[in-house]
Amino acid sequence: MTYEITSPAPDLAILVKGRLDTLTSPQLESELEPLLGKAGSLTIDMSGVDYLSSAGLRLILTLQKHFKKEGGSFKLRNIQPGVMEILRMTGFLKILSVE
Amino acid sequence: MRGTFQRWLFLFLAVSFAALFLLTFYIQTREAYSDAEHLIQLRLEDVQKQIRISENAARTILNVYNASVASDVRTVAYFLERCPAYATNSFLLEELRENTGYDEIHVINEHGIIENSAVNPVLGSPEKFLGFNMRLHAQSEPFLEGLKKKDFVLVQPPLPRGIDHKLFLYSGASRKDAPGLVQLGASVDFLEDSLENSRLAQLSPSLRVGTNGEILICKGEKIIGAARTDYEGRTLTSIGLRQDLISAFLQGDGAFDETIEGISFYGLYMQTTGLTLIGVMPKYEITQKRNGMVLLLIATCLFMILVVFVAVSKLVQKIVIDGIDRINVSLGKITAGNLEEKVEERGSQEFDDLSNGINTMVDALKGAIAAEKTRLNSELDFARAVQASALPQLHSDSRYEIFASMEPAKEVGGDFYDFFQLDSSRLAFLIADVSGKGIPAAMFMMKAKAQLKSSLLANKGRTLDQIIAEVNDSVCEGNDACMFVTVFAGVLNMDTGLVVYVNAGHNAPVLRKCDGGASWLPVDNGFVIGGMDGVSYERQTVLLKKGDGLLLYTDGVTEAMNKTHALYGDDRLISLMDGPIMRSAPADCVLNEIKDDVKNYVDGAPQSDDITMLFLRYLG
Repeated sequence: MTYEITSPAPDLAILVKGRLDTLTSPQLESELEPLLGKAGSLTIDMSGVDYLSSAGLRLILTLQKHFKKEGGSFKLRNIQPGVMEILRMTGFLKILSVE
Repeated sequence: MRGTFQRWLFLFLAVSFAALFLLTFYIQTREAYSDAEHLIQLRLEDVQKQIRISENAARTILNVYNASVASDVRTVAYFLERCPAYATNSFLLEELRENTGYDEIHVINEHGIIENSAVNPVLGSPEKFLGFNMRLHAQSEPFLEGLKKKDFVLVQPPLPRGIDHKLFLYSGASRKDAPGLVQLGASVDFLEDSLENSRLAQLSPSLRVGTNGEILICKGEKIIGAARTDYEGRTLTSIGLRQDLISAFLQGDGAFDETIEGISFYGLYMQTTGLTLIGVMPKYEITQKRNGMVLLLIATCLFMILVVFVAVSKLVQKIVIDGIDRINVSLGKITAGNLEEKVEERGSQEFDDLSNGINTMVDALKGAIAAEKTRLNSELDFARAVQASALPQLHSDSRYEIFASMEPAKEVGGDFYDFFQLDSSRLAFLIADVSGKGIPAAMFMMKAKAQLKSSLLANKGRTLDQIIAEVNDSVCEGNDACMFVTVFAGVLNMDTGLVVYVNAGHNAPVLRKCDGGASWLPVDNGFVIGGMDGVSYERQTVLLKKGDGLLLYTDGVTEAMNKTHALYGDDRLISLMDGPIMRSAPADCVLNEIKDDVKNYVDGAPQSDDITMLFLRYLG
């Protein structure tokens, strides 16, 4: 998993590539954490994410809760079909903003 | 480490070489000058000896000459006694002079007055000597002794004569014929010149010192002898010597440095019988041998440095660095987790100790890990037993048959299932998958399971979707870790076969119709439990006919991977369930069929997720 910041805070946007699984999700979470304080919103470009495990879902849930609590917006965009199916099945699509 | 060692080694060798070079240079220089000084000194002493020998020879010649002159003057006195006419007649006297070969003959009377003279016409005329009073001049005065003694003979050393100060050697004897003296005179310029010439001619071959050095013989400031003939006759000042040096030369012995015509010289000087001897050698000749030595030393040392540097570097590489590299490779394997790796670097006491130390440490670590693992394993085994005991396995009634199993990927799992009767006609059944694995998932699972069971049992008057929403809210409370669980829960009316179900983010179950094939049970994709409170769920129903079955499973089944990381997949599951054997097989057989198929599919690849299944068949 790699990621790059495509837009700095406050309108933070990142592009993630690779797998979001048990190993990589906590890593991305710990690296995003210091950036969240200044971010009014976050958009994650998921075009490069080809696998999403429950740990990845947990990260998405954590971010969703953070922005809901702080009053910012959190969006996922360019989701691959396989990942989209997981989000759909787990009901995440019901609570997320997806482009 | 190797680089550092080489830098220090090179520095050490370079400093040693520089010290050796300076010491050798100093010693060789001192030796060269000492040798040169010795050589010049010897040559000076040789020349001094030669000069003395020449002077002695000259003195002998003079003595012989003087004896001959004494004999001649006595002979002339005898002759005049025999032939007195020659004493008075000037022509006869001149004849006598010519025959004797002397330059002058004077006949002096008893008063010391010259009364007859014969003089070599080349040197003057007799007239100016006639009447000369011998008493009146210091040179001639000593001869007057002969006026008193009959056998008087005197040969004077060459002296400036009284009449005109010309250098002459006079001899005299008392007359036999009459009172008075007879005197012979000879110009001795020739004698002095020939003596001087013979002296220097003998010396000139010995005036060389080494190849380019020489000895200057000086009379006062004038150079009268030198190996270089163009120096002869010149003054010391004219060849470029400092005035203070020239003054020193005339006073005693010593050594000096001087540059003559652009070349640096080293020299010694000494005094000998009115002459100053100066021996000089060019410095480049003095240091020639030293320079050769030093060049040889530099070449040898550079070669030695190269040899020592390469040899020691290679040796250190072989003995120390290669050993350390091998130990590092082993340590790399150990830190990467291979505790079976042994460090076997032998060959020296230090490496033996180091290898033994590392091996002992790794063994101790292995022991500690094993002990810890044993402890953890026993606790996990216990936890697994607790978890397994919380899950019912088989339950049957005349109206239904149910069987379930869970195979955790780790010791304890995050999946669970449950089934229990709510009352005499209703059976609740559910399957769930907690996010994550291991101990945290197992703990969350126990909490969610208890919550689901107690809510389902307690809220008999409420609909299933309301109950699930209520469970969600209570699980969300204090869920700081953001864990969640997907749940499929259903309630079977054993009298009618109607199943009411709610799906909270779980995989859709497979419906196996007795009179048809297998298909996915249509489900609403509700949000997972524990993710967010206040979520509502949709209640759905399906009517089971006698013999119809429902397979609930977790994604550990459909996402089981073979060695090429390909997933088992939904399609394979549906087609397996579609098989005729599944139509009426007992519930435990259905699950075993699936397990076997999954096992065949993964073909020994390690299990990555919990595999949990529940099969319910309505028997009517």
